[in-house]
Amino acid sequence: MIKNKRTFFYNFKEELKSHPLSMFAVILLISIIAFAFIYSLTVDMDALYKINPRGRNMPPMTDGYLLGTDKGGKDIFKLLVVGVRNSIMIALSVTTLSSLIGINLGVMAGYFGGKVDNITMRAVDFISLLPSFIFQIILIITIKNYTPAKFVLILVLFNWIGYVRMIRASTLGEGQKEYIMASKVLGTPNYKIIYKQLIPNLVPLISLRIILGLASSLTIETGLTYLGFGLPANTPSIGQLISSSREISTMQNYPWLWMPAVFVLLVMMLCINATGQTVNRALMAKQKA
Amino acid sequence: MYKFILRRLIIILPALFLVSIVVFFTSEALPGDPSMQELMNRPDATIEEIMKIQERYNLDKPPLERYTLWLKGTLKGDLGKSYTFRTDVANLIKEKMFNTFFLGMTSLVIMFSIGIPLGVFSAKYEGSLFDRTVLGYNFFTLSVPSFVLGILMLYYFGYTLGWFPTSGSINPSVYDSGTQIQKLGSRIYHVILPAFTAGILSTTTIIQYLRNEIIKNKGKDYVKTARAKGQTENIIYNTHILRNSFLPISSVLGFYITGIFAGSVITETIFSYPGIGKFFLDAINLRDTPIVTGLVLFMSILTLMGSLISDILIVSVDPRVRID
Repeated sequence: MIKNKRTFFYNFKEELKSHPLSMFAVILLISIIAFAFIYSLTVDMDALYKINPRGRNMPPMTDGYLLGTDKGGKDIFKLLVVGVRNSIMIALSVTTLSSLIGINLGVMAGYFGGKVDNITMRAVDFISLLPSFIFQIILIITIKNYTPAKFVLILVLFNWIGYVRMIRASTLGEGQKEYIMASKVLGTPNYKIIYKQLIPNLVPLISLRIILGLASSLTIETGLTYLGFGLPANTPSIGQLISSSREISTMQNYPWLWMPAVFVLLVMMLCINATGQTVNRALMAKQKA
Repeated sequence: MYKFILRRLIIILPALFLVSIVVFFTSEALPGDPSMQELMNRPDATIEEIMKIQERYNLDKPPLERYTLWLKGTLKGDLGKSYTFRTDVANLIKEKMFNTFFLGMTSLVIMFSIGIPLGVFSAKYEGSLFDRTVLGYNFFTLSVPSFVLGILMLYYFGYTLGWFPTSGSINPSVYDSGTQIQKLGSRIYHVILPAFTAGILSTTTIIQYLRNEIIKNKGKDYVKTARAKGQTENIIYNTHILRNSFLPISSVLGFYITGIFAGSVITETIFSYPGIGKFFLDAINLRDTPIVTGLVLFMSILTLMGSLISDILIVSVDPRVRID
């Protein structure tokens, strides 16, 4: 048997090797995430939240505070690191949950067609008719005992439909191919065809969608938190640090309170999208081959 | 064609009905009570007084009856009275509409006047330094969240350099005693920063569509024929390729209408621009249920209209798209 070396992951590695900038972006992204998760373990949350009235709004590099302090005298560097971890965690959970729901429903809608397809797609159509950003804000306000977990669920409610659309469309294409037909003729059970044949073949496309989904979840999470409808006030996050700029005096006189968070968010978004582009190029290379 | 539009409208009616139910009951669940707001400074208020106010807003009736009353009013264009401003919600929305519409149109102009030239020339000189710069710009605008760009614009151009106003939609003194031209000038001066924030980020779609479409069309047979006839490059580009490449952009327009209002929440809040996006957040913070319900319904209808318009545009500009 001839071993086909040109798999998706082989192409991905090749793309990374030939584009040093993409390589840099992927490494930077992984380092930021790893640093945020590991360093957060060393941060004492109670000490971080202790208000220090003498050290308010200190500029960076004073008294051993790398990025200075905020209006409560809290260490901005530590807030930022824990905030990056929290925001990434939210974005990851939203993306994981939505993609799990979306992939399963999408494959089933595309594979079985008929009633399953109709019901799923009508639900998808209906949710996509609602202005999602506005509904998310209303749900966040109305829900009782608001927690970060509920915040994730609200975001998932409007996020899964994108995955369904994409997976359904590619399942419709993939399902017409001969190997699926052959499996059906041989009497392979449907769940085996779906989970052992269809989904593994859609992995490259799914991974592209998940990376882009991560970027959009991060944007929505930080955006909602910026407006004051995201993570609760006692949880540090990127959006919360940026939202301190909503006070005019902070925006004008203490840019170090929000500027680092803006910068880190921008760098992460660029890295995530660069990773997405690399995956996309690897996909196209596979199609060409 | 008319059949197609009619069929889409028939599908939209039940959707609209469902949306109205969802809108009404989710906004109803907002914590907020008009009696609390009206009797805020009167801790001695009696139960009767509270009941009276509740009655005035139909809050004493069961939910289903309240919904039918609200729906009847809405169909007549009456969205109820605001808890805090005690005037008609419909009028309040109308006042703010103009600003949001003005902001949307300005950012639309910015989007097209930046997006079209960049898209056209990057495709014409595919692979050149210019093309690669445009692709880099596109990558950047794709990655930047709108509120991040807004904050940076406000900080640098609004506060640090002081070139543009940092809040409002018009200078109050001009609004009171200015000529029409001065008023328009002040409005444009105030809208520039928010409009650029919204407009620059939307150029991504235009550039991508246009560039892909032109590159695809460049290799088509009709272009080769035109070239074989000895047509000049300019005519080939301006009349043959461009005309065909602009078609798909029209489908983006429908979604753009929706985007104007959904995106206005963030842009208007950053720049304290008094449009319906900022109004929505203010109403949420004031727990003013009638305004929230009215605005959400309004934005939902716009979302429905946006998808309908883009469907119609796709079919009407490109007869090759099957109607069914």
